[in-house]
Amino acid sequence: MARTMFATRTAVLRGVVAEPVTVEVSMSQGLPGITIVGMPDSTVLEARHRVRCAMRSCGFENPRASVTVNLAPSEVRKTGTGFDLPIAIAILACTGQIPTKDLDDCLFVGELGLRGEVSSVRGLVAYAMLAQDQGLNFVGPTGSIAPPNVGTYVVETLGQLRQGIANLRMASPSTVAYDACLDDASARLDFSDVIDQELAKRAFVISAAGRHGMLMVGPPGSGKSMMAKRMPSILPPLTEAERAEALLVHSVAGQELFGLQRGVRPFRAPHHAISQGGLVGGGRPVRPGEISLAHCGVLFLDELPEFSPSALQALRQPMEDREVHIVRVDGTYTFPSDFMLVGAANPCPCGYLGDPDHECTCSATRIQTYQSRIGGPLMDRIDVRVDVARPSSARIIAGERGIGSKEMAEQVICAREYGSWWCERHGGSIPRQSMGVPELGLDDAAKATLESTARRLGLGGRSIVRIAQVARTIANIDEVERVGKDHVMEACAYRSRATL
Amino acid sequence: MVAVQGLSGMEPISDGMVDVQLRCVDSSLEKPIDACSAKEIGLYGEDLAASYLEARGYELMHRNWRCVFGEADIVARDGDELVLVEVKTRTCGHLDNPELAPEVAVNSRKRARYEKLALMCYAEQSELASVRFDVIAVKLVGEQDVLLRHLFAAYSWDR
Repeated sequence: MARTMFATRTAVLRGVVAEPVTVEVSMSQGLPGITIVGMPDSTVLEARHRVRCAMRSCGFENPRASVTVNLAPSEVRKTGTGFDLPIAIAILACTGQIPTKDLDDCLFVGELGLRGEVSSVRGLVAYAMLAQDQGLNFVGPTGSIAPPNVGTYVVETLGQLRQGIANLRMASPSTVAYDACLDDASARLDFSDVIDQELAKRAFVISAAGRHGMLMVGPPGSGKSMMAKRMPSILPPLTEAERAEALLVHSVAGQELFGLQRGVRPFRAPHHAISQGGLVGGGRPVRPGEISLAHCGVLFLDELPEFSPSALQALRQPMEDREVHIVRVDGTYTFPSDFMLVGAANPCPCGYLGDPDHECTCSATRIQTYQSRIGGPLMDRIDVRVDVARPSSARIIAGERGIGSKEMAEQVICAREYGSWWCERHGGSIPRQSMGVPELGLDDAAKATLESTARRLGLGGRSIVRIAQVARTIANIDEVERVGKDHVMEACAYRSRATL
Repeated sequence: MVAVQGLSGMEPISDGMVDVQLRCVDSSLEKPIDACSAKEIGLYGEDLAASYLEARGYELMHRNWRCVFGEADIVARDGDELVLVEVKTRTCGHLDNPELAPEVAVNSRKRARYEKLALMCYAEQSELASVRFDVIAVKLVGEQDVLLRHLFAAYSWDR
């Protein structure tokens, strides 16, 4: 026996943050067996069997000694299968079966299979970030993403450790060029496929340019879902910082990372049967919900009134704060939730309320119940509400195509660029979202129009600020410095629909 | 003791299990197997296992070592390891039939008992480096043929 004690470094996920954990292994005489202490849950306890089988399969010898594994700090609950690799390495190093050189400078995470193969766990991005913060190398399974400034090594099977860490394969930085996404089916969706919806397309441009929430109301078959699915095609690619944040959330939730690595904005479209926990985050261990997975991207809620009221109302605070706080007995979990909400709804249960060619068959009470499901406070946070009528049959048959994604994306990018230039010039350090009406550059006619509209419609403070912000976005699209009367009137038009 | 053939040239064992085919040339039984009581068959199986272990180079220390927690069939020494051996003997069934395999007769309650037993035994032999628990399953095929399965380090006591 080479030593009686050895320690390796690993981490445990808590929300989207990896917290450092030290795996201490002590060997002593006594009955052979592995004892794990330090608040392990059952997935961690099962590591004993996986580690033993993996070591045997890779030709290592299981120590016939009493092995005590301590996961420090002991007061934090340990969960997940990523402890398999660090426990196995600590035991192997303790028994002198692998070289101990460099082991102290590494953070290990990985699940072991019975044949000794190292498989992926969720949250690899979070672990790699911790390694970066602590100045350690990261040793993980295939699929580990190499963050900048971190030596990231990939270990495929336990047996490779015989040759030492230095001989492992380095992970390559895995960012792919943005235009590589063109061969993806979902990226080929184009707004030009949507016929006769130029008004709605304009609303999409405004919404994308100003990151405003939007709601489409219209009868079945009018193309609401079709347009929402094309939303990512007009959004600018993720910036480096946004990509890092989105990758972290997706990695912790165990989601596919391929699109994000190429800079494609996330688009989440959960079914309306989703629970509150699924939408805002929850579970045990606490995982990010759909709003966090839509961070820096789009959250599309189709058939908005069909969502459970508790789930919908839970959206209010995260929409405002751009992050969600989930409180559990063991503390508060904070997940980012800076998403763009795109909702779609029918005006009534049968879907034809207000349609000139169909008669609505719903009773007044049913319509009211249906419409009240969304609720005023949530509606108040949706800035762009647009009616989507059924497209004209003649135009569909003729296949007349309107404005396409490329042109719309250009408008969005120009507007965003103009907007940031404008903000820098006028707002200084005030973030765009917290600008009040005076900072938004409304000219006198615009102010007068806003005032009279606000008085006529009895608008609340938030509504007035939101209208002014939408007007600012429209001015950005037109690339003019002062917000004019027309901008305000268009912005008001998008807010005029108080209910569905 | 018994005299057996088939013990020379055995493959070495350090993990898992090994099957050995033996032929008994001088049985310690005085009557046919069918006429023996369960106890007699058990003792015969332990004799066979002891011969096997000696042929492996183990130093036999005790037969039927007793303490307050029960009895270990064989206590032996393999290098600097203390080995407790539980011997299970069967006269019917096939070793590969999981229902009838002799080693499954060692259930979880016995396991807990063996743990205490091993600790007690180890306490007496604390100069040895470690303690191990093996199971030897003996299957009597006919009057002379014996199949023996040695489960090496059959248990570890995880917590």
